[in-house]
Formats: sequence, C-alpha cells, structure tokens
Amino acid sequence: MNGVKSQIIVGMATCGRAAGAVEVFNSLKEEIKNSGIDVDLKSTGCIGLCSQEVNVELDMVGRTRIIYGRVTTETARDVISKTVKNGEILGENAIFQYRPKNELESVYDDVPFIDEYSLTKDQIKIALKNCGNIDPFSIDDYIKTEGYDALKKILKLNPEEVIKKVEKSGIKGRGGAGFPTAKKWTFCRNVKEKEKFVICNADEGDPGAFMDRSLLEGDPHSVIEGMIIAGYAIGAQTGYIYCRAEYPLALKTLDKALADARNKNFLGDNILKSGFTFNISVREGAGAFVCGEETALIASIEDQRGMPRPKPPFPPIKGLYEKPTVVNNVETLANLPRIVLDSPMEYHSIGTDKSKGTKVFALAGKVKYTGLIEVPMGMSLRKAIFEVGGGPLPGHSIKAAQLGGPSGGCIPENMMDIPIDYDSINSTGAIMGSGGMVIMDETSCMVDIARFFIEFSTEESCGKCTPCRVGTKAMLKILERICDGEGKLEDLDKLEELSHSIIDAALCGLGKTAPNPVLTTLKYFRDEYEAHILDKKCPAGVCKRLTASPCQSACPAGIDVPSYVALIAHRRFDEALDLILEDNPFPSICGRACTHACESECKRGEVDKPVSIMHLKRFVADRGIGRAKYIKPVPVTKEEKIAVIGGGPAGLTSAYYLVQKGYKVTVFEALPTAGGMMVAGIPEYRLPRNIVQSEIDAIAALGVEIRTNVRIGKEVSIESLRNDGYQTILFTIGAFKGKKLMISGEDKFTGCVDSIKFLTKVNYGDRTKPGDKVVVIGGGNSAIDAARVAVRLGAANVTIAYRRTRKEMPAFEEEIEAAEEEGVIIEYLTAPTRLEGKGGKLTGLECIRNKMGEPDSSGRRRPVPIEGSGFLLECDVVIPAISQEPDIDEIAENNDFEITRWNTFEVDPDTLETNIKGIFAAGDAVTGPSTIIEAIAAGQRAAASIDKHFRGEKLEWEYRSVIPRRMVPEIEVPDEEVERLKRPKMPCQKASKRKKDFSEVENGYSEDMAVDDAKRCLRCDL
Amino acid sequence: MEQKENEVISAEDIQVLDSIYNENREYDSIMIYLQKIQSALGYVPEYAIKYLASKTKASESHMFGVITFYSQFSTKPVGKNIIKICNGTACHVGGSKVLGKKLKAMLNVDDENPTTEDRLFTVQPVACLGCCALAPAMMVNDKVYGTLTVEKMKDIIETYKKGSENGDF
Repeated sequence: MNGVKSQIIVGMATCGRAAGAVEVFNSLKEEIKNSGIDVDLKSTGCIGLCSQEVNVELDMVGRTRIIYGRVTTETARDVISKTVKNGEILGENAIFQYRPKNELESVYDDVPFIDEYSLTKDQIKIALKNCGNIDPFSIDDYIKTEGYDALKKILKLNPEEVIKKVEKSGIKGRGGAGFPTAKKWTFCRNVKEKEKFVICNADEGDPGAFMDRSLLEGDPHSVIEGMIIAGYAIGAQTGYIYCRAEYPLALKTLDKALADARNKNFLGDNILKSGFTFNISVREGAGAFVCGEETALIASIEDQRGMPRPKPPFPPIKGLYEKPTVVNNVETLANLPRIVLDSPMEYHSIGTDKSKGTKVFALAGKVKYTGLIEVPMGMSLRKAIFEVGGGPLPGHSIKAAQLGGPSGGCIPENMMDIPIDYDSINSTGAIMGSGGMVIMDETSCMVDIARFFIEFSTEESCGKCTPCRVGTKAMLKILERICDGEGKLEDLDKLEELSHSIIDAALCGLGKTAPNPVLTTLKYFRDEYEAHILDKKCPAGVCKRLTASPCQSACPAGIDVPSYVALIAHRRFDEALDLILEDNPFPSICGRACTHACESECKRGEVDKPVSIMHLKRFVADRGIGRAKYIKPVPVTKEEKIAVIGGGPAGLTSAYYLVQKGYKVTVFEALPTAGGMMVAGIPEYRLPRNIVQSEIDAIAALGVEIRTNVRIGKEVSIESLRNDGYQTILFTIGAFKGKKLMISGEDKFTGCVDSIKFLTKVNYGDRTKPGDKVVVIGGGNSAIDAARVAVRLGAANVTIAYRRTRKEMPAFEEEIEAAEEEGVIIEYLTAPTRLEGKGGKLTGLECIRNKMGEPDSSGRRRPVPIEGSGFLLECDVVIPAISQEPDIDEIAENNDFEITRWNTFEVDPDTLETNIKGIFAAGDAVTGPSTIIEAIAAGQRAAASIDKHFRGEKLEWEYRSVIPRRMVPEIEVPDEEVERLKRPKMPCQKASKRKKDFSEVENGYSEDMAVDDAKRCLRCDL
Repeated sequence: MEQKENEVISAEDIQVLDSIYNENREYDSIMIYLQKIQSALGYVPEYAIKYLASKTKASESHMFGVITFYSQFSTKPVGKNIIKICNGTACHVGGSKVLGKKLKAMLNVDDENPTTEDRLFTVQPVACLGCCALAPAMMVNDKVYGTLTVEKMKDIIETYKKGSENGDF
C-alpha cells in the first residue's frame, strides 16, 4: 500500500488496450463515481499476463495487493461493488496476490501468492521490475521506486568506474547477438573524439517480439536512465531513441517521460549540477525491418535509405555521422539502473557461467499463457514454456519453439531441456535473439513457417548485396513449390546449398542469419518436408494447395469432411451419405466410435467449439441403415480370387473396394460374426450390434462372401487357401491379445482377466457378473469401456487405477465423464505393484502412489512412484487394460513371415506387402492397436496394392492431394443466426437408467440440430 | 507518382507544409519532415517533395529514394482510416492470412488497390504489431485490436463506418 488511499490500477499497455482496457477503465470510473467510494483509479503498463487481459490490480487499505484478470466492462461493476466495497473475492478473476507488507494487511483466502502462482513464481524481474507496477506517465512514481538514484550515484563516480561496474555484472547485449556491453562501451570510450552518441535501438522488427514495446510503454524512465548512464560512461552528449512507428503508445509514453526528465534536470545541460550534459531525442522508424541492424539504423537517422554498410569499422569506432557511437538495445539499457544500484555481483550471481542475469521473452503462439516473462538465464527452455507459460493449449501438444524471429530457428520439443543461455541455444542452430518466443503445436506446419520467414526476409531485404536479395528469393521459390506439393527431394539439398552460400556471402547480420529458419526446420522437421514432397500431404493441414481443409487432411482416410458437412447444411442428406461412402464403408460406426481427429483440427474450435463432425456423420449415416436390401451385387469380372483373413474394419474395407473392382473376395472370420474389434472391443451401449451388422450387410450385399467361425491355422491354412484358388491373401487379424501387467501374482489367482478377453466375452453375449469389486488398470478408452461394462453387469464397486492425472488421460473426456456419472471411481496417480490372493482367488491389488515428474518426450509428465506410499485396493477382479498385440504366434510358427519385435507383421509401409510376395497385411496386425479410421485407411491402401499386384503394375502407393471432391456453395447465415448457433449437446439417456442395461447411451442429433451445427462450419475449403 | 501535370497547389496546401517545416526545423531531418507530411496528408505528394527540395539541402531524387525505401511512406493518397493487419509470426500461426483475405473481401479491396472507393479505409500489411500475445491482431490508425475473429473484425469495421470510433488509443 502506497500512502493511505486505496487504489485501483488498470494495465493499459497495448495488449491491455487491444483487449479493451480503455473501456474497462471508463466503466470502473463510472462505477466508482456512482458508488461514491474514495479510491484512486490509475493506469500502469504491462504486467506480463497478456493472455488474461484486461488486468486490474486492487490495492486496498488493509489488504494485500491482488491482481485480477479477464476483467470486462460487465465485471467492472462486481469489482467495485463486491471486492472494493465488501472485500469479497471474485474467484473467476483472481490471479494472484502479493505477500502482505506488514501485519496490518490481511490476505485474501484461496488466492495464490505471487511466489506460489505457477506463472510468476519462477520469474525474476530486473528489467521488468517496474512494468505493471508504476504509472509510466508519472516520473514521481518512478522516482519513488529508487528512480534516477542510479544516475545520482554514477555522477559521483568517474566513467571508468561505471564501465567497471557494468563489466562485473557480466551483462551482454540483449538485442540478440550477445556482445558484452562493457566491452562495447570501452571501445567507444577509448576513441579520442569530442562528439559521441548513444543510440537506443527500439526498432523491434522481429515478428513475434514485443519486449521492447512493453518496456517502453511500462517503464520508459528506466530506459532513459540507462541511456544517460551509457552516455556518461562513454562520454557522449547526445542520445537517440530509434523507435518503430508501429508503436504509437510507446512513442507517446517516451515523449512525456523525456519532457518530465528534462524538467527535473535528469536530462539536459549540466545534469544535477554535475557538469555533465546529455540530451535525448526520439526518431521514429519508418517501417523497414533492416533498420534493426545497427549500421542501417544509423543510416536511417542520417536521413539515408536504411542500408547496412560493411563492418569494420564498427559503430563504437565510427558510427553516426562518422562519430563513435554505442548502439544498445532497450532491454540492456533497462537493466542498467538496477545493476548500478545493487552490487553488480548480485546481477552476476543470477544465470549461468557464461550468460549472466535474466532474459525477457515475449511468449506467444500456441501456448496457454502468452505474455511477457523474465526468467533467469539457465532455466530450461522446457520449464519456461511448460511451467511459466503453462504448456500447450488444451488438447494439443507442443512441437517446437521459434526463437530469434527471422534470424533464429525452431527448437524441437525433444530438445527443450537445454538451458536458456547464449551458447546452448546457438548449438541448436537457433539464436537467443531479442526475446521473441513463438510456440508451435501440431497445427503449425514447419515448412510453412520456414516459407513465412524467408518471405519476410525477401520483403525486408534492403537489396544492397546480391546473396541476400537474390538468394532469399530463390529459396522462397523452392519453398513455395514444396508448400504447393510440387517439390522434389533434390530441392532440400538445393535449399541447404543456397543457405550456406547466403550465410557465407551476405553483407550484414540480417542476410547472414536469414537462412536459419530453413536450416533448423530442415534439420529437425525433415519428415514434414518429405511429407509435402513425397506424400503430397501437409501433416498440420496448413498448406492450402495440399489441404483444402484441416479436417479432411487430419482424417487418416481422407474423408471429404468439408463437402459432406456443407451438404448437410443444405439439407442434401443423401448426397452427403453417398459422398462419405466413397471413402468409408462404415459411416454409422464411425459416427459413433471414431477418434475424430478432424474435430481437433477444426478451425471453428479456435472460435468456440469445433463442428461436431462425428455426430453429423452419424446423423446422415443412420438414414442409410438397412440399405443392404437396395444394393445389388457387383458382377465378378476378374478371374483372381482373394482371401481376407479377419473380418474387422481393415479387412472388410479392402473387401469393399476389391469387390467393386470385380474381384471375388472371401472374408474368413474366427469369431461368430464379422466386425472384429468393432464388435468384440466396443460395448453395445456405445455401438449397437444392429448398426454394425447393417454396415456389414451392405458390404456383403455387394458380393463379398463372409465365412465366420473359421480360424486360420485350424480350419484353413495358407496352403489350403492357395489350393482352393485364392491367389492372394490379406491378413487383417487385428490385435486381440492383451498385454500383461508384469507384476507378481498375475498368473497365480483367478479373477485377473485382460480387458479385451473380458469385453469379447461380454460382447458375444455372456452377461455374468464378473465380481463385486472390480479394478480396471489403464487410462485409455478400453479401460473406460471395461469399467462401464462391469457396472452394467452389476459389479457393486468399480475402480479405475491410472498412473498419471486426469489431464494426461488418453480416453475421451465425454467417456470419462459418463463413467463417473455411472459411479465409476477413478484413482489417479496410482500404479499396481502386486496381486494378493487367498486359496487361489484374488483378494486385492497392492498399489503405489505416483507424483508427476518432468515432462517426457511426448510432452506428458512422467509419473514417478512415491516411496512408502503403498496401499491395498480390495477386489475380486482385476482387468488390465494397458495394451494389446496381434495373436500371431501360430501363424508365425508355421510360415516364414518376418515379425517385428512388437509381434506385428513386417510390411512395406507403402504397399503393405509382407516379405512373402503376394501376401499382404493391414490394420492392427501391422500397427498394433490403433483406431477404426486408421484401419479403414489401411484397408483402402491394401485394396489398391492388391489390385496393382494382379494387374502386374509396380506396387507403389499413389499419393494425392487431399482436396474436396464436390463444389458445394457456401450457405448464407444471417448475422442474427450466427449468434444463436452453438454446438448442440448430444442428447443422452439418463445415467440412472443406462447403467442398468446395454442400450445405446447417445440418442443422436435431430435434423435441425444437425443442420444448425453444419452451418457453423467456416468452410476452410473455399 | 500519381499526380496531374499541372496540378494547382492551393494556398492552404502551402500553409500546411509551411507549418510542418517551421515546427520541425530544430531537428533538421528530412525523415522527420517526410513523416510529418505523411501523417498530416496520409501520403507524400510530389509537390511536398518539391517544396522540401526548395527549403532544404536535400535533392528531390534523394527524397524519392528515401520514400520508396521505407514502407511507412505512400505516394498515393490513402483512406481516412488505415487498417494494418498484422503478419507477424504469432498472428501467422494464429491464422492471420485467412483474416486478411476476409477483410479485403469485406471492404472490396486488394493489394493493387488497397483503398476503398469511398476513401474510408486503406488496408496495409504490417510485419508485426508486437501484440503477439493477443494474436491475431490488427491496428486501425493508432488503436490495436487483439484476438480477432471474422465476426469481431466485422463489428470493428462497423464502428468506423458509423464514425463512433476514430482509432485514437
């Protein structure tokens, strides 16, 4: 609490304003006036919590200072009437509170302190010490926080002593290159010239960086004070602040600060009667990125075109108007007052051996908490991103961090354990840069990022030297070609060659570093380049020519999502279904049990919620239930016969395509019905049997023969099939063997049965209660299925033990919620260690508690057992649901197949042919347990290969760009309707009813719900 | 340069230039004169270059070189409101390309003709506005708008059409 009056402080830097801080400020003013309370309303700069703007600090008499976030004009009233008047906390808005300064200040309940809150606890604020704490327009506020004390202190020292202090601190230039500040000053100091200059480089041109803007907007005086110190140290009389014109607020703040500093004689003639004279004026940048380079910046102040000149001579020797000139970055200067005031050793003690102090980063992109952070050098990049930045956006995973803008590079996720220091970051091929850190996740295409930066460099190249001017253009052309799906593998070598030529020959730092974004992405994300070139696919779904829509490119089977969703919006339902059936013989099944990668990529999800693509598919597909009776068999026109072993989604999809090409296809299924995992693994309440049967019937109606209860090895063998005239065999036997827990007691007691055995038994009609107390082990959908089935069979207590936390659980959120509604208890951070029993019967499961350790390569935190935390879960049934593998032993024993160490078929990934010519394998039997849609995609591919095999063509998969097949016009949605359209919630049976039987839980969308939701599609394909 | 041969320069025009010249003489900087002219008139007309050449030591060709180098200067008149749609990394990753396209379609302008027919808006690209934490962003005159969506953009444009917003920060 400053003084005796309560105050409310609104963060009004550009970020805050962009989020509506001005409006919030005015609302607060109005509310204060109306309520008649006595409180000061003030503004401040950026507090760093940009993603939670608008930020408001409440500094009430007798209370700790508290920060509110996400304040709107609507909540402004509550801020005043509840918190300010009654001390009542707004839980939704409270972010953190400061520690009480004395015993008179009472703390707010349930609000973390600044040193407890995950975003702030690991930050050390030196450069940003005042940002968000003081009113940047008030020099008195600055003076109250020891402002200009550093100036007073150095005026009593001689310049060499000042330089010594800075040298001791170990600070290096924060603009990016990391040249020791004191060294630069010494060079300049030693030149015997009367006229010298200090330039503050505030031409923050790196896209993705806003540290300097925030500093200038939030704490201009510390930059000004830093400049005066620099001027005194080198013997300069004049300073320039070269600031971008795109930062109008920073310019305005600076103007006011300079005028105030002159008034108080911190600037101007004979400063504080010391005999030292120093003046500063502001120069506006005119929108040329290259002017961030010091010699170009100097040219610009000299009224020239902003082109760099060769170095040496370096500016400290010959700079502005040929006079010795020190160019320092904003952040470097802002650090100086603190370094001078404290012992420089204090600054020196922070950081690593070679990189001292702190670094400010502008955290942006695909990370939970974007904003301005200041962390000690040496902190791991992972900690800065995953803890201070809060990690990935919900449902996404971080792929890379881009550091250093167009001069920098991309550091992949698996290298993020490196410490933040100049050397470590340089070793990755990126650079520390000025502090821009843009986070990318799986929705960002690394080839597109490289293209983006090279395009930037071509546009900003000043044109003076050929390698940069022409070389970057040539690189851009190649990158554009690759993004359009027209690249060749040789292009990658060419890119590398060009990069090295530019690095060697370009004149200035900008040209020399321009290829870095390409080189680092080529180094760490070559697979993405190759996917563009070979597969004609942009894995992130960004490159327009390769992916009309992210949803379609996210779908393993390439289903034309945008077109069928649009057809639904037009109420052209039958056309929509026909379109889906072109790529997917199981629309009703996928409409219920697909993993719907399409929805996680849906751009609408960035606005509110993704279009409910899966539910829409179910809606149109269910109109086609019973279609088998209208389907006529396709005449057999080819001589070859094909045997498909395994009637799951992969095998049936292959059969579906092959029979339509005129082949005779027979599917052999070991179980009593076809369907594979779709019947055996997925419980009826999620996927009713009649739905599965209807889709299988439609395939059979085309002429596919399905023979059930036939097991390979027993009733038939490869040899007998060949004798029966099947020239080719496709193995799609799935992954039906449950993996073991590998803990003691597993084979000793009855009552331990793996989830797939358990589910198969139940799904084929055995409805006996497994036991009273059931523990399921695992966190995937299969674990949830087993638990919910056990509830339906009458088990009184059903518990799921999962080794990580809910956040990491791979099962679908809706499934987890549904299980909990049905009474399933989930024990998180729990790992099994031993099974206990009596008389051959299971009685309990011994478990240990885990805690979450450092994130591993998948970005998920590793569970670490807590010693001595063992406990017993009483139970009579344990169902491990950890993973499965193909039941392949018998087949492998009797044939010469190559088998992988995961017990799957070794196949050519492109053609799916096994090592035995003419025999193919696909689906889970190749990949291990995967999804229905992956199996469908594999089935498509196997069918294409088998067809080529018979036609004597070279076996290779023809990649094609995933683009919509239909041109469906956009539907006009009136503005008032846009407001109304929300993702409809799937109507469900009540938990109390559904837990008693196996009837379907979800009821499906109505026609109006489906059409409304389809209208929400943003039509990325157009 | 877009200028008629015998364009008549009014006394008013000269007055504007005179006052800019006199107010900024202390800096003795061509860049500053040009920037002030750009912000007062929305562009740098040929007559202003001739005017400055007569008043300062700088040649017309030098000034033309400077104007064409820096993206801040325009030799064509621009609209009343300048919309800068941010192309920075964070905005790019956040889908600014699509937003830019929609904005241009909304205003019926393109890169060749970035100014609307009614001279109310000019759409310009900008390398980065430094509002990365709230990407995607755009700036209208001096006011920055963050976490943009197409709908939000529509609403913002409306406020300028109605004149209820002028883009001061």
